[in-house]
Amino acid sequence: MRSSFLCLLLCLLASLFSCGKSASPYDDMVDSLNMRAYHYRYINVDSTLKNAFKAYGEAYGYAEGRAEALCNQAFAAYQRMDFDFMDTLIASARANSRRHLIHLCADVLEMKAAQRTGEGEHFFRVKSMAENRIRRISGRLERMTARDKALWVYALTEFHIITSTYYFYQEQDSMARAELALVPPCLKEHIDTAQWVYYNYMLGPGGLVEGRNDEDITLQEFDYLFRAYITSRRDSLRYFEANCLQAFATMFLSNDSLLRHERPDAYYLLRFQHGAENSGYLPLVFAERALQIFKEYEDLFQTACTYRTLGEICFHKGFYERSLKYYEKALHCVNRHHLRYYGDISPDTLSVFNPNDVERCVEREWIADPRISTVPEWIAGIRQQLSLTFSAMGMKQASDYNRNFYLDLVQATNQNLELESRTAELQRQTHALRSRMLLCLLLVVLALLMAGVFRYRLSRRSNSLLSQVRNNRWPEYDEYRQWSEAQLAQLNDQREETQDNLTMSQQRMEDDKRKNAENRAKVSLVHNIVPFLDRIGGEVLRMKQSGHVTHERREYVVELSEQIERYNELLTRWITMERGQLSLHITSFPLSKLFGIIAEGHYSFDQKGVELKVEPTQAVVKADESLTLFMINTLCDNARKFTPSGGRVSVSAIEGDDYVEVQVSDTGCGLSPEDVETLSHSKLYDASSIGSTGEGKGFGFGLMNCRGIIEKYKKTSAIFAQCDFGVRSTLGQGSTFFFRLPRVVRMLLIFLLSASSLSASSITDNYDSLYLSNVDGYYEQSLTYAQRVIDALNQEHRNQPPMLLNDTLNTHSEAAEMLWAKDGVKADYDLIVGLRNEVALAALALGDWGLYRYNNRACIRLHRFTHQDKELPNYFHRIEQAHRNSNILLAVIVLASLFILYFAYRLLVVSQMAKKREILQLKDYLSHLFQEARNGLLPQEFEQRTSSYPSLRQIAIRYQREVMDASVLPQSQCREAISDLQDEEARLQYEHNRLYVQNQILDNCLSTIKHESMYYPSRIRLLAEKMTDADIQQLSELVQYYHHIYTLLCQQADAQISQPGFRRQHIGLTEVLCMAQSAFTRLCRKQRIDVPLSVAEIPSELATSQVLTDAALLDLLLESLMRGMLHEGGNYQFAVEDDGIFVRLLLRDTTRQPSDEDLNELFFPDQGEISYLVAKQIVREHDTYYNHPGCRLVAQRSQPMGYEIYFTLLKHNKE
Amino acid sequence: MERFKVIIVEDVKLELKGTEQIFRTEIPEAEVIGTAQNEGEVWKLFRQAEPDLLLLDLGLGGSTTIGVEICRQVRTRYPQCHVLIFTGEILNERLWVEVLKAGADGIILKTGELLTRDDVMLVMKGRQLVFNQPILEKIVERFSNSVMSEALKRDAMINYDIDEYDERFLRHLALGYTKEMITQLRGMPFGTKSLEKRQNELVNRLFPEGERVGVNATRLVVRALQLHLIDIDNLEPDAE
Repeated sequence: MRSSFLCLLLCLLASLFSCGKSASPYDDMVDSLNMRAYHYRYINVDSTLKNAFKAYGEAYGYAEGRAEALCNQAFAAYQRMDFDFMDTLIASARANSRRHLIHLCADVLEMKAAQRTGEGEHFFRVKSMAENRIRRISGRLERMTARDKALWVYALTEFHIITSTYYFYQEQDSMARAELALVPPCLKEHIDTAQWVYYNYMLGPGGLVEGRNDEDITLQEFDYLFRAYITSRRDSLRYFEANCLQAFATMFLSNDSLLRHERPDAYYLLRFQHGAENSGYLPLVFAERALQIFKEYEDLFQTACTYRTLGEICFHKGFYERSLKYYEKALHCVNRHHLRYYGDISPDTLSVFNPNDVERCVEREWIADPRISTVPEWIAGIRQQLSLTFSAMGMKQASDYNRNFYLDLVQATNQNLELESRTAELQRQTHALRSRMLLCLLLVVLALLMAGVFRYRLSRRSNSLLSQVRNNRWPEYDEYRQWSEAQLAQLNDQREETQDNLTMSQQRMEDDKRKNAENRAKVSLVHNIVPFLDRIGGEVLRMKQSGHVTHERREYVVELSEQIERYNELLTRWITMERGQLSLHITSFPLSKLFGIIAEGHYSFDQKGVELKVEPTQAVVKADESLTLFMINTLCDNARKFTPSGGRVSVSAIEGDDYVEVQVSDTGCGLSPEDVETLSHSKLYDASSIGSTGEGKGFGFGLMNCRGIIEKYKKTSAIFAQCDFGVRSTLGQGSTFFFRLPRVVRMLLIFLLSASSLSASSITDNYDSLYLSNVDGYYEQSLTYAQRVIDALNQEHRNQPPMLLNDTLNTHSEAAEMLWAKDGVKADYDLIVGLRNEVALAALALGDWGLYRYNNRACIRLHRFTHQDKELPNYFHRIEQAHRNSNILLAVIVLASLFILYFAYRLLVVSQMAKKREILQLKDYLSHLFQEARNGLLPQEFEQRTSSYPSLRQIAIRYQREVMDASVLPQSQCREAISDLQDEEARLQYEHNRLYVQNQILDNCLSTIKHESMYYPSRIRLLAEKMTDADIQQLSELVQYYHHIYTLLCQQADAQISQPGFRRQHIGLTEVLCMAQSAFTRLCRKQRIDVPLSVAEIPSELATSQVLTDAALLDLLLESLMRGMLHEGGNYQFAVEDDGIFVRLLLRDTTRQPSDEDLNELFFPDQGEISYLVAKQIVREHDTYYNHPGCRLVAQRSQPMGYEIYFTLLKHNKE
Repeated sequence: MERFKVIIVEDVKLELKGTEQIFRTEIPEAEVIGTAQNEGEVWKLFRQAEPDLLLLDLGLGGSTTIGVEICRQVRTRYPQCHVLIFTGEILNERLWVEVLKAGADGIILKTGELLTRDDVMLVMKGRQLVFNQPILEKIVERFSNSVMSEALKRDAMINYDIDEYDERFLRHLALGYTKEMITQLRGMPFGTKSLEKRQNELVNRLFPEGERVGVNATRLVVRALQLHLIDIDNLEPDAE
């Protein structure tokens, strides 16, 4: 800062002195001093500075010479990276000179500075100025002096080289290459050796050469570099010599043998020049030599770069500690630069790794501060290498620290995104201006044209419009008609679809209803046992009263217990027969869905003054959704019942390793340890004995059912091994009921997904899991996911070159996605950038440097490419143009509007306008009408203010009617129908769910009954068979206990069937006959029997009758009866008969003649015919839900031959 | 005791055996003149000889309520014959009522002591409403519940301090009267404002603190119904 201030002072003084003098004879000396200063640029900056100062001092009245001297000083300042001072110098150089050439030199210097400090906007602003100047100067090259020509060559080459450098650092290789190609050929005539060397050096290490393969490129690059090196050594251009050496160091690191074989002369020359014995140390020797030269040359930037190169060499050789030291030194250089010029603004410096404050990014602060200039590329490079080194040393945190900063810097140096939008805005503005201008012009022309023909056309148009509207021939109407038809078709489709869904739901519902009816029949079978038990009880009671056993009673008890055993066997057979039919619907689903439903039911809790708290969860479980909801509901209801007002019930899910535990906690009265024991471990208990006295009502079956469900899961599959149900409770402090379900790991899901299809979702899912596994530290896993994403992406872009995870063969070649991006292929590039970044991270962690480099490069390049501001270069041209345009435009607009106004006033006759307006109004109204109809609204009246055309109103009414009849009404009807169907489906869904849960639970209850009570009848029988008077007490106790358990179990089952499953419907008798016929045909087909069924006519007195029933149950009833009766060779009749308030439905088999006894017992379990039991149960259900008991199910002989079974249903006469 | 004739209607053979045994061992006076397993057999037996007692099961074969019908017919066709229901229908209380209406002399549930000599003898002596212990227990339970709920109602009137106007107000609200309409009633000499005040007071009395927020007329009326302050079976407007 101080030096810059001093210089400024000097400049001022100098300019003061120069005021009075005219052209001086010292001009030549000034020129020669300037030339010397220029000559020393890359040899010794101090000499340049010295000569430039001198030239400045001598050039009192020679403003151009002075400006040139200032430029040379600015160059020195640039090499020292004193950017602020440089700006001052350039500004005063510009102030001193009026020559474009000098300004161009200043521009080029400014561009250099902007490039280095990463100020893209500034760069392009200056570049656009420079381009203007180049255009101007190139027009008068002939008149130039030799010296000016030299300066011109310098400025021009420097301009192209620096632009190329800028593109190169922005990873836009092709642009950089194109820019270098623009370097004028005259350069090759060795007018300016330094620039020539610079040009060759640029082509050297940058990857700007195109070649057949990697080797070819390397060799070409080496040739350029070697040429630059030899020349720079000859002319002692030390700056370039060192740069070349540094480039050699990097090149030799990986291509030693290639160069030794292909370019032996150059190779050995270099080796002997630097006295390296061992070729392995060659890179190190080059780099150290370069370092030495840069230090002498006092170039901080290049010194730091060389340290970085040294670090890279050590890293390559595996000396991580040493390389870390070099990077530290490089960073130190950065700090030194910062402290030298900006230490007073921000004293903070960069450190290799600051574990105390990993979030703070000092370099970002620097970049954000407009007062500070630094070189982001510089720091970014060091940070990246540091991240690599730390990773190699196993210091993950430090590595991440540096990588994060690296990415931050890449982000920050990206061309300012804000500019992008500004440019786009500008472009829009220019575009708008231009189009407005065009419009104005058009208007002017139009207005002129209109003047002649307007009146004529106006009336013609009015008439044609009217005729269009009158004859239904205009585009909006056609469009509307098409829309309306399409809409109606779509609605109809939707209706059909809904109808189909409904039918499917109905089918499912019917299945479940059948199962339910069968289950109910089973329950009634269970109930059939009770009378026998009561009989045994009665007998035992009598024996107890009399005190002794009689033979008769003993025999009776034995018989009864045998009967019970038979019934039990039947039940077992029945249950086993259906095993596997009632399967659980296992799916994976998020618990949050069910928790949401539970939370919606808070009203009943609010009523009781209990707070319901449902904690959100992310858990995904594998289970039966309906049953899980049932379980949570049951537990919540229980908790609510036993929590006093003011208490709280909370529902939560806790994720374990392989399970999710759903907990329902309350702040109720709690349970004693004995109760907890009973609830957790015994399958069967007396609910009324649990919990506090008097409140035990209804408590228990719910929990038993929950337990049963969990047991069922366990039996179903080994996946459910971790299922559990239990309770934790302390008396007086509330209880927690919980159950466990298997947890679904997200990864598993994704795996399944990706295995099944390579869809777009699998890309994002895999990408997510890639990210997650990186976060969790499963890096190998990450690479697998990454490969999957890449595969999926390749699949999506089959016609494009495929992406690779790593390309070890062609490290210089472009990654495939870059080619896609350049070709304008549509893809999610942000995702690819992220993918490459994640892969780079994983590679970093795994220490796979090759993979890291490839992916990191691909990531950065793609990021830069997709975010580059392609418009920026043109930005400043446009600003100028826009200014000019807008001025002209203003004038044009004013003129044009005046013109139009004038003609409008003269020519638009009021009446003509009014006519047209009315027609347009009608048209507007009609458009509006169509629009409203599209929105499903009813049209409003057409208001006609004047009456030039009285028929307009009629047209409007006609259209209104048409819209109503053809579109609005049918559509709304259709919508209504759809909504009805949807409601119906929702109802079915609800009922189906309920039935399903009921069936599952009944299933459980029945199997519990089977298991728990199987053992007793045989015990009783054995005891009774050998009973003496002394055994009465024992038998009595056994019977009582059995009775108790049995009643309890029955109650559990009854609690389930108490919910109605019966849906009352009126069904016509014709339909009933059809049902019977189809059930019969179905059954015959199933059993492969071919027998006739004759269906009698409906008697006339029943012509208008219907029966009150549930169609699904009636169907099952008919089917069950037929199943019982059907046999090969039978002959069947079906008839309906009048029977008072009932209708009798009769099935007759005229071939068989069962005994009276068999007919009597047909509907008892003794016969072992399950279908008759189902039939009996269904008739019983009818009885229960009719509210008019009296249904019959009778089996009897029929005259003259065979037997018949009939049942009665309540009659309902149609009005 | 004189001998009397019995017909037993029972569809389950094994149960029939037990019942017959009870008659044989405990009621020797009874002469079982026939047993029937379905409705047809019943009428056949009746045509052969008219019994003094019909022991009737309610469900026969596939028809679970046929006993009611048989009972009704026997009472009309053979008024001298006693009918005693002997059934396992423990849960279906409605059937009990139906069969009593149809003229049964009593109901014996097939549980506990089953059929005893005492029960049969009482019926033979012409006693109505003969029940055995299990059914009596159920009846008494029902009875005490209903008595208790009546008592609750009277208590509620006093506990919630409900006067004649409160009752009338609530009753008419329940019938869908608006406050304006209620003010027109002869028995309600109040204005709308005063009725609103009354409603608020009622809310305060009938609802515990914390539940009073957002109580509208419907909720208030429902609460009154729950507390038996107004009788849902007897909801009539005042005669004007």
